[in-house]
Order: sequence, then C-alpha cells, then structure tokens
Amino acid sequence: MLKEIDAIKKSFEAESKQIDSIDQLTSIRDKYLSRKRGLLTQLWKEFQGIPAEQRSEVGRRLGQLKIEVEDRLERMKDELDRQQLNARITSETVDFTLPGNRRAVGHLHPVTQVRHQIEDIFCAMGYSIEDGPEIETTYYNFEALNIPEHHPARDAQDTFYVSDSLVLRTHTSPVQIRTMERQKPPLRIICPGRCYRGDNPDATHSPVFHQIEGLAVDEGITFGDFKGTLEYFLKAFFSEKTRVRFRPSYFQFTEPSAEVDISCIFCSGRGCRVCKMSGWIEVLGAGMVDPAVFAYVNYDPEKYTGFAFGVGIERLALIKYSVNNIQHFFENDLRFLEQF
Amino acid sequence: MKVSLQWLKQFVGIEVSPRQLADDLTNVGVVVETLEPVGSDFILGLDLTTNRPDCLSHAGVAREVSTLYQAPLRRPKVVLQESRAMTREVIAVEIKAPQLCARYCARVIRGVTVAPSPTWLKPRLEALGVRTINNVADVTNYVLLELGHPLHAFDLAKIEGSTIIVRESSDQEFLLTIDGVDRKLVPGMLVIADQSRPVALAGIMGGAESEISFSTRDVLLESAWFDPLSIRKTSKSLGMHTEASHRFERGADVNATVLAIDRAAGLIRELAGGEILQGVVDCYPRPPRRDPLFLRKSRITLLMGLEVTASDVERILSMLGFTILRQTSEGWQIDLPSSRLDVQREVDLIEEIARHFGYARFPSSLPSWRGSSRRQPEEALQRILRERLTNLGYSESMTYSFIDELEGQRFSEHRAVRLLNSLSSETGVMRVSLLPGLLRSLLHNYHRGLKSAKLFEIGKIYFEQDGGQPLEETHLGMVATGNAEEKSVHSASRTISFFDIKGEIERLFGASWKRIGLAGVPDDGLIPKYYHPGLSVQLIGTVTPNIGVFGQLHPEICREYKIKQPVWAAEISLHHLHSEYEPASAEKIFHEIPRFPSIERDLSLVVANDVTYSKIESTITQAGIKEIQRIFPFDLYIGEHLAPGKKGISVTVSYQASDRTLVEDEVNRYHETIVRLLAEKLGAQLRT
Repeated sequence: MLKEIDAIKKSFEAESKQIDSIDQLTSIRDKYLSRKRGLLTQLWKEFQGIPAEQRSEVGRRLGQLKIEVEDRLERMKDELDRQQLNARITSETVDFTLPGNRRAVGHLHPVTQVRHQIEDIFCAMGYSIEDGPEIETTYYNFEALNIPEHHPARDAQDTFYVSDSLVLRTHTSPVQIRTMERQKPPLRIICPGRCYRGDNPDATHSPVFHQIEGLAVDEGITFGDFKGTLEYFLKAFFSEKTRVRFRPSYFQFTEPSAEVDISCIFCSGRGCRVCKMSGWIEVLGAGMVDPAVFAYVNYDPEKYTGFAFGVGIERLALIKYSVNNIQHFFENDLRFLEQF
Repeated sequence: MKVSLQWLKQFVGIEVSPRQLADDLTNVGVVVETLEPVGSDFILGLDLTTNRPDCLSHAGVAREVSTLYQAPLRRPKVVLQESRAMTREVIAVEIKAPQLCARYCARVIRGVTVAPSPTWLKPRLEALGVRTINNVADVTNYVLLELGHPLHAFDLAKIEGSTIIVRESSDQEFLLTIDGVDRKLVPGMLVIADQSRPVALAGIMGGAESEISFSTRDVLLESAWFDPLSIRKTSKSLGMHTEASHRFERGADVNATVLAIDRAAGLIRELAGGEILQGVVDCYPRPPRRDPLFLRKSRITLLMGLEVTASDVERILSMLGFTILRQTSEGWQIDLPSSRLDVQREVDLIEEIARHFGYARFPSSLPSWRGSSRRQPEEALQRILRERLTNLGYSESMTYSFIDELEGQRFSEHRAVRLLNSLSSETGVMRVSLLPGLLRSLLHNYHRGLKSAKLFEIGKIYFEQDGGQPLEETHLGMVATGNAEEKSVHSASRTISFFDIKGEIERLFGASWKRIGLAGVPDDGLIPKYYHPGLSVQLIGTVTPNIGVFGQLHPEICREYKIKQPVWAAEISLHHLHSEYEPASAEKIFHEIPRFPSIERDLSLVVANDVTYSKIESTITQAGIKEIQRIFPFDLYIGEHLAPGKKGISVTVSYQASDRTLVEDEVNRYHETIVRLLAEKLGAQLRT
C-alpha cells in the first residue's frame, strides 16, 4: 500500500508539472480526485481493507498526499487564472488619444462672469444687491441726481426717450435714489443692470451696456473709506499688484468727485499702446455723495456722508480679457463665448 | 480746449517738463489728454469737465498751474491809449431783458485798417485750431483764448441808429448769421439788435450784415454776460455750438467783461491802427450778489478723514482766487470769485482744497459696518438657472433690448414701447420677446457653419400697459438646433427631439417641476402661433397659469429666418417660475432614507392610441397603494404586431414600505389590483 502511495505521488508530481491549461488541470484533478474513479479515491477504498496495525501509518501518508494534491492543484488554478486574466488585459486596449464622450457644456457670458465677480466682492463686504426699472422717469435719471433740465451734463449722455418724462436709463444711478427713498442709513448697496446711451455701435461704444452702481451711506464715512473700498475692490478684481489712482473729476451727484484709474495691466504702468503711454487705464467714476442728492431723499447731510461709484461691466471685461471690440459682447458668436 | 505752453508761461513762470506739467494738471482735475510738440512750443489738449469754464483760457489754466507749483500769477497787460472823443456819445446800450443779460459793455475804435493779421499772431491762433480771418476778428478770438471771455466785433457803419438793444426776439424775425445761414428766430431768443432789426444772436454768433470786412472803418466791440440757460436753449434749438456759446452756457465771468474789452481794444489799435474812444459804455443794471461762505475745519476732517492744516487750506484757496475774509477757531469766511460760479457750497470748497492738496495724500481706510446684507431671491434663482443651463450645454447670449417693431409682432401680442429717437427702425421698439434677439444670434452662428447651437438669454422684456409706466418682466429664452450631443466617433449622432428639450426643462425646474402641469395640442389656443402646434406645450403653474412655453418653432418661422432645420425654443417668465420655485424650496425637508428593499414589477400594456402615459400613471396612482414608490415607463411600441389604433407601453412599478420588507404575496396582490384598474378605466390589456 505504501508503495502504491509513493508511486501515485511520483506520477502526480511528474504530471502536475506538465499542466499549462485549465483543461489539463481539470482532467488531472479528475484522474486523482474524482469521486468515482480518482486514483486517490480508489486508494481510500482499498484502505478500508488493510490490517489494523498498518492503518495509522498508511492513513497518515494517504491523508498527507491528498492534502498535497489538493493544495498543489489549488495553487496551480490560481496561477492559471492569473495568467488568463493577464492575457485578457493585455489584449484589452483603447486608442486613448481619441476624444472622450463629451457632454456639451455651455458658457456664461463674460459680462455675467464679471458681474458675478463684482457682486461677490461687494457682497462679502456687506453690500446688498438692488434692482430698478430700465425705463426710468427723468426725475430719477436726472433731477434727483442733481442734473437739472438744460444742464450741459445732460449732453454728455445721449439719451433715448420714450416720452417727455420717460427715458431709457443712462446709468444705474437712479436705483441709488429709489433705494434711499425706501431705506434709511446705514446703507450698502450695489445695483447691476442694463443702461442705454444713443451711441452708434463701434469698437468702443454700444447703445446697450451694463453698469454696476455702488453706494455706501452711514455716519462718519470718509473720502479715505471711499478710496480704501475701491482699492480693495480693484485689487480683488484685477490683482494684488494693481495700483489705483484717484483723479479729481466732476459728476453732478458726487462732490468731491473722482475718476479712478488702475495701473495698466498690459505694461504694468510702464506705458504702452493700450494706456496711450500714460501707464494708467481709466476704469470708473465715483465720489462722495453730493449733499444735494441727500436732500432729494430726505437724508440729513450734516449727519450722514457716503460714497457712490459707477463701473461699466463691459469696460472691465474688455480690460480683464483683452477684448478689442465691445461689439463682440452682443454678437453672441459661440467661438467668442466659448473662450470664457 | 487747446493750450500753448509758451503762451501759458507768459502768465506763470514754471520750470517743469511738459510731460510733468501734463501729469500734474491731470492730477488736479484738469485732464491733459494730448501733448504735442509744435515747433519750439507744446500744445496741451485739455479734456475739461463742464463745471470748469474758467479753464477755457490760458489765464484760467495759468491759475491752476500757479496754485499747483505755488508760482506767482501774472496779470495780462493792457495797453490802452484812448482819444478824447467819448464812446457814450457814439453808442448807447439798452438792456430790455435784464434777466437774460446781466451786463453789456461796448467800446468803439474808429478809423481802423482791416487787414490780415501779422505773422506773430497767425501761427499762434492756427496752432490752437483757430482759423484766422482778419486782424480785428482775430483779436477777439485771441482775447477769447487768452482771457476766456467771448467778444464780438461789429462794423459800426452797419448798425442803424446809435443804440444797441439787448432784447428777446419777437415773432417773424430773421437773421442771416455769419456762417451764411438765414435763420428764423423763435420768439424769446436773446438777440442784439439795432433800432430796426437783430444784428447778432446774443452769445452765439453775429449777423453777416454787420460782420467786420476789409472795408470796415469803425468797430463796435461787445463784451457781455448772458444767462447760461438762455444761451443753451437757443444754441440747442438752432443746433449751433460756437466757442462763445460753449463758454456762456457754462458760465462766463461777469467781472471779466471790462478787462477783456480793454485788452481787445488795445490790441486792435496795435494791429489795425485807429483811435479808441474814451471810456467803456458799461450797462450793468443789477450786479449779481454772491454771499460769502463759511468753511468749517471740522467738516473738512469729517468728510475727508484727514485734518488738512490751516496753512494749506488758506494757501490753496487764496491762490485759486478765493478771498479769505475772516478766520475763526471754527473755520474761514470766504468770498467767492465771479469766475468760479461752480463753487457755491461748503462742500465745493472742500473739493477745491482736496484736489490741490492731492487725492493721493488722503490715507485709505475701510468703513466699519453695522448693517446686514441680503441677496434678492430672484437674483439667487437666476444664478442657479444660469449654472443649470450651462450644464445642459446652453451658452449665454446678450442681445440688444431694442428690436424691429414688425419682427417683435411675430412673437408677441403685447404693445411695444416705442423709442422717440431710436438709432434705426431695426432698433425702434423695446423688445417684447427674447426670441428675435436669440434667433438672430443663432443665425449669426448658423451662417458661420455652426449648425448645432444652444443659446439662452436671461433679460427683460418690456411692454406698454394701459395707464402708468411700461411693464418690465424678466424672462428666460432658450433656442437650440442641430444635434443633441456633440458629434462623436463613439456613437451615432442624433438630432434634438421634443423629449431632449422637455428633459432640459425638467432639469431646469428642479424641485419645482412637480408643481408644473403641461397643456398641449388638444387644448386649443394656448400655444402661441409661432410654435409647431403638435410639438409644443404650455407650462402651467399652481400659482400662475402661464409660466411659459416650449417646443419646436413653427417651420414658417425657420423659413423666414432662412434656417433649414428645426429650431427648438423655450420662453419662461422668471417671475412666475420664482413663485413656484420658492414654495418648492420651502418644502425641502429631510426624509429618512428607506431601510427596506424595494420590489419592482413590470407591466406590458396594450392601450388605445389616445391613452396618454399620464392617464396610465394617474390611474395607477388612483389605486391608493401607499407602498408604490415610483412609476416609470421603459418601452413604447407602435407597429404591425398590434391591432390598428393600439400601442404598446411597458411600465415599471416599484414598491417599497418604510416599516417592513415587502413579501411577494403582498406585491402580487397590489399588482393584480393595478391590472384590474387599468383594464376597467382605460381598457388596457396585458401583452402576452
């Protein structure tokens, strides 16, 4: 019996070395372990008939062989499976240079993107967003902003008229007045929206454009606060390195008034074609709220001070994205929109 | 306004480079836009704000320069040799409209020789863009540029009578002005007249008949002050803008009249000879009074955030021509010069100080804040929609708010708001719909070979309403054409279908979609005529019935716009969408995630063609089985294997209980109930 066990062990070791496929493995497993005709199964059957004194030794050897065979076959199956998987993986390839399945994604208009950026900067400083009508009364568009009829300042803004007393607003400043009429200080608002001026369209003019008006009114607001706020905004919007210049100017609804320039972002202020060699680019008009405006909305000009500014969104977008023609913003060419 | 650097230096001695001067002037608010060398001189092109007529002359700019560099200001020199004959014996002045003409000065120079100007004068005027005419006319222009006060020279021989009358024009009066236009005057315009007729449009332009010519012997000089508003109205209504009107309508200096007329008379005699009659006829019926102002030290600090020293305040104001009458511990009593009509209030004085002190020198700060901040809920919704729309592949466009009236009528029955002075008929009315603009944008891309495009715009539409201001409503417009997905090597391309658009609208509405109902073909008259009647639906809300519409545009519209493929569109009122969105957002509340598994059952039904899916769904819902968690269709079949007039539709019903695991028997019972109900109510049969 022991001899037989040794012979089977030898033949298994020799045969198992030849295995190189799952099929072979299966037939060898059947040959040795099959429940009916397996060589080891046969031996177990014979084992039942051997004398008692030999049993323990034969049983031990037989059990050992069975475990050896099972283990070996199990390990070989793992190995073969792994080989098979590797073979499959090697054949599974793609041309990864082909484009992916793209879901078309649309683009927000650059004017909207710039508007959102400005809104976010000011909202973080406690400003609320206000809105007002685009078809506005001459009272709110001019009078209440201290621009009387026949004042030369009205010439500077070619106005579209709907009737004697209704215009397409030439700036978002009327929203200032409407808000101040509703609310008492302290007040911090920005008013984004469409404005209109009777300019024929060209590279730098559009009869329709967008503006954001800002207004802060409280006790003790100073010219220094006005400067600090706009410097913070322009640095946040353009870059930390931006330098800001305030120049005296004139607007009917602010006093003192200022034009605000930034150091040219194209030449860092050294002078180039864009800034006409001045090193500066004009970005917005602003100033301390004129006491006359407070009078229109019944704020006490002795008690309250404040500042206001108006910034053209297209203007900032033109500068920020180096767009050379304002008409691009209204043509809606997808090859333009998809750049933003 | 152009300024010659050499001329400027006659009034103020400075030693800075032209570039530096230009920068420094710009920093005090006198913006130098251009700087050009001309020969040995430099010409500064100023861009002046309307409040600074005092800087419309070399002497005026010189005052700013003198304050800037603290350099003494020189007065213009006047050489005046008068004869014995008295001016007032030759000419008298009568102001009949004293509210429109505060002062009128006249001088007479007799026996002049009118000739071309000498060689020193011509280039000086020409460099500043002034055409030279003859020595007398050139002198008036020269003095205008030097001192800023407009003058006029008449040929005295052409003045009838010996009185200059300043009056309002009356009915049926005409004046041939020196630009050669015969003008019909509107009653009320201020004119200079002799005894029989107007000879000049006051402060704007002289008459051709009394113009100085080479045969003129005696010159009548005028130096006056006219009311800004009157000059502005007249020059606007006649469409005339002259150097004189430009200054008068901004406010000339009433006290500069005598200096200017003396300076001009002296120069005329120097250039054209003749004798200057003695004295100025100065008709000045009511010298305007300007009260002094009190400037508080505390107010400067309060407004500017920095204390400006008293010596700085006094130096700046006095160099700018203000007179400090009195100083107290609180501040200063200040007399205002007649050249600075723009300075009327304490705050105007503070601005004068601030701009010469230097805006840059006030330290920056941030104000403290004790209020709150809020965002308009409509604005928040717009941001969400914009994000969803871009995720759905739509790019945002912006179009003009005005459109062609006829084009607008194709897309709306609203009465459009008409512009009185539109740029063209194509932009004659405010848009009543977003579609014309969007279609034009689509067309722009289509013509450039982009046959697949999806665009949206969020913006206002405007229309007249009876009584009251026009209405403005914010809408969302969408247009889409071409392929549903980008072309790909990985899958076949497919054009946009109704259900692509419907799916997008559902995604767009998000949580509020379940509040929306749809109405289509059978409900006549709800779909606007410019939509394909069978492929478009109306969106119906619970708060407002008409939220919007979407579907395919009528092929007729595509033909008009010359687009040879279907175009899909949607129009949604954001105001109305917001009314659905708000309650839907408010309903957002956490529901426990189900812990027990769900069981699905499929139903393959055969129904009549006119049985809609929504009827099937609502019939299942009517069974009142609360374990039904979801119902959705997964197959639709119309074809030969079915009887005519029938369609096959397969639906999955998913069951789930929140408190137990459902058992087969229970679900089978539910399933049978549903099958029975569908058969009873809709005549549905199970497909075998």
